[in-house]
Amino acid sequence: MASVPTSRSGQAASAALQAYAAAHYVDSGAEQFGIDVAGLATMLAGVFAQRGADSESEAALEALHLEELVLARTCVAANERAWEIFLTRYRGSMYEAAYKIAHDEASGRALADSLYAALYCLSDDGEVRASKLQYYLGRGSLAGWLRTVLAQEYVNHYRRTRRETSLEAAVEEGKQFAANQVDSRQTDPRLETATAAELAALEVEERYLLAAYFLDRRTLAEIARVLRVHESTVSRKLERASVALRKRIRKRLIAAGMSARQADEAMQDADVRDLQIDVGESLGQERGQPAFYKQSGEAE
Amino acid sequence: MKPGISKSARDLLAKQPAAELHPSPDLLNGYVEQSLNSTENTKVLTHLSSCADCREVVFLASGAAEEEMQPELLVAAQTGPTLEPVPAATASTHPRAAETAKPQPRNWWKWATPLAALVIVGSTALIERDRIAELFSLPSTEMANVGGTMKVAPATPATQPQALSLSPKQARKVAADRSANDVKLQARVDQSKMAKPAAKAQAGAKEDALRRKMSEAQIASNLQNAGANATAIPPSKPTPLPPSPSASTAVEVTSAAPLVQADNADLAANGVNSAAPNGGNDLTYSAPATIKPQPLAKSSLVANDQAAAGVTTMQLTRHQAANPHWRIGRDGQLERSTGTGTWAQKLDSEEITFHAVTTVGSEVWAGGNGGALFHSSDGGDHFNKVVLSANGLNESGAIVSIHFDTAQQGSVTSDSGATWATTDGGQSWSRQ
Repeated sequence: MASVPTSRSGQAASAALQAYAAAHYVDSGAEQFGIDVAGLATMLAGVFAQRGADSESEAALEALHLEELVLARTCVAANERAWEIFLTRYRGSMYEAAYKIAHDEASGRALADSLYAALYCLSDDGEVRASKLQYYLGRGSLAGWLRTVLAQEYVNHYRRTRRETSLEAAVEEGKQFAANQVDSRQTDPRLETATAAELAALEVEERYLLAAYFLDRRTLAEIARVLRVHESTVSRKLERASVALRKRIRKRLIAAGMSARQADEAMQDADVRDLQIDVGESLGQERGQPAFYKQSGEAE
Repeated sequence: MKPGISKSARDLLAKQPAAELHPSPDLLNGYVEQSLNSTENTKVLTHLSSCADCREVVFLASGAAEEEMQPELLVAAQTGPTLEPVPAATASTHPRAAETAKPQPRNWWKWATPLAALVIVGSTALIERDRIAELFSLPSTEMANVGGTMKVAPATPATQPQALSLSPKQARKVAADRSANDVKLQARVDQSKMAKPAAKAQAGAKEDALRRKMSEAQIASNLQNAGANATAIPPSKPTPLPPSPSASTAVEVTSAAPLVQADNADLAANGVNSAAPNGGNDLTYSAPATIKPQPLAKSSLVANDQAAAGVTTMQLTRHQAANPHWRIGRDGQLERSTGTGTWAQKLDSEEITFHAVTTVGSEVWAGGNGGALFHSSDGGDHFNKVVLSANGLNESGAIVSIHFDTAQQGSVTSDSGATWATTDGGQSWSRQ
C-alpha cells in the first residue's frame, strides 16, 4: 500500500484542509491509491507547508489541481498504479513538448529522457535522489508543470554547455577573438541618472513588457500568448510605456539643466531593432541577440 | 508609430539585478496558466521583469503549450484518420482544468468580427427585403371566401377580372397603386440583375418558370372554386417571408383552410415582372393567417438549399465513418471511433497497456508495454502483431512513440531509449 511522501507528511492538517479533503475526496482519485480522507488531508498539509506561509487560503484551495496533485504524490511514493496512469497520460505529451522546446528530435528526446529519469528518482549517473514530482504543488496543471520543468532543464543545459565550449570549438565555429573595443562615446551622467530613475519608477508590468520586447526580442504575438491578451493590447501598452518613458526622461533632463535640444540629442541614438547594438554585456546573458534556441538553423 | 526606447534606457534595463532565487516551476507554470493569486503573480512578474532566464522558460513553456492546443481534430475531418487526443482526465474532474481549457478571449475576437459582419449583412438584407415587400403593399389583395375556407385568390383585374367584384373606384385605385409599385420593383429588379451572376439568374429563371406554372394552375383552380360568389376583401397587410434569400421557401397558410402554396403566384397576380431573377419570389404576401416557412423540397421543384445541406451532411457522415479516429483510453486501452460518438475498444483481448497509436491512410500502428507493436492495413479491422527485432535483439521496453511519414517509412521509440526504423512498412526493422 502506498503512502504519501514522508518528508512533509508530518504536518498536521488544519480544519479547513480536513473539510476540503472530505469534500473533494471522491474527485481527487485518492481512493484508488489506498489513501483515505485523513491521509489526503495530511498530504495537502504537506503541500501547503512546502508552498510557504499564508498559502492555504480559500482561493488557493479552489484553484488546486487536486487530482493531479494526488497522482504526483503517489508517484513519488512509488505507487505502481499511479505510475501507470502517469505514463499513460503524460508520457507522450512530455516527449512532444520536449521536441517542441528543443526544436530538434534528438535533443528533445535526450531532454525528455533526462527528465523522465529525474522523475523516476534517478540521475543521469544512476545516483538515487528524490523524484522531482515532489516539487509539483498543484498551482497549475501537471502537464504544464512538466512543460515548465522541461523548459527550465533546457535553459540550464544550454547555459551549462555554452560555458563548456572549448576555445578550439569556438575557433572552428569561426568565432573571432577581437580585442575589446572601448566605447568611445561619452554618456552624459545626467542621462544615466534620469534614465535609471525613470526605469525604477516603471510599473512591474511595463518593465516586463519592455524587457521582453526590446531585450529578448520577443514578438508581440509571443508576449500576447503569455499574457493571454490580444496582440494589439500588447502593442498599445508597449507604445504607451515607451513613449511615456521617453517623455519622462526628457523632462528630467530638462529639469537637470539641459535645453530641449540638448535633451533630444542626448536621447537620440540607434534604432531599437538595430542589430549592431550590444546590450548583452550585463549578467552574461545574450540580451540584444535573438533567443538562443532561435540562433540555430531553425530560426524563425 | 513603432514603439522605441533610448539605448541608455535599454542598457540600464538589461543591467537590472535579477533576484537570487528563481521561482519554482510550479510558480512559473501557475503564472503561465494564470492560476496564481495576486501576491504570487506580482512576485513572479517582478522576477520575470529582471530575469532573462526565467522569461525564456516561460516563453518556451507557453510556446509548447500553445502548439499542443492546435485543433488537430478539425483537420481530421478533412485529411482522413488521425489520432484523437485523449481528453485530460482533469478536464472532467477538476473545474479549474475545465476553466483552463476554455477558449481564450483573443480567440473570441477572431470570431466576433466576422460574426458581427454576418449579423450586419443579414440584418441589412432583411431590412432591404422588408422595404421591397412594402412596395407590394397589397391594396389589391383579395381573398375569396369559399365555403368557409380561405384561399389565396388572384388579385389582378386585368388578368383575372372575372374573379373579383370591385367597384370602379376601387379598381382605379388598385391600378394606380400597382403601376407605381411596378415601376419601383422594376428598378430594384434591375439592380438585382446586375448584382447576381448570370448563371444564377438563369437557374432562378428556370425555377421561376416551374413555379409560375404551378402557381397559375393553382390560381386557375382557385378561380374555379371561387366562382361567381367571390367577394372582394379589404386589402391585407403584406407579410414578408422568413429570411431566406434563395427561392427555396414557400409559405403555408395554416388557418382553417387547406394548405395553399402562395409563393410566386402572389407576385404574378399583382403584375410583377416575374422574368426577373428569382422573379422576386422571395417576397410574398398572404392571407392574414399564421404563416410558417415550409421547405420547398416537399414539392417536386428543384432541390432547395436545405436538401443540398442534407446531402452534405450525409457525405460528411460517410466520410467520418470511412475515416475512424483513434485514441488511447485513460487506462491504456486502444479505442476507435467511427464518427458516431461512440468509442469501441480494439485489441481488447491483448493484456497490454497501449501508449501510442498513429495512422497513415488506412494503415494503423499501435504500441504499448513489453515492446508490443500491432499493425493493421485495413483501418483497424484486423491487426497483426509485429516483432521489433534486429540482429538477435528484441525490443522489450514500452513503445512510447510511433511516427510514420509514409505507409512504408517510419520509426518507433521505446522507453528504453531505442528507436526502431523501417522503410518497408514494418517488414524489417533496424535498431538505431
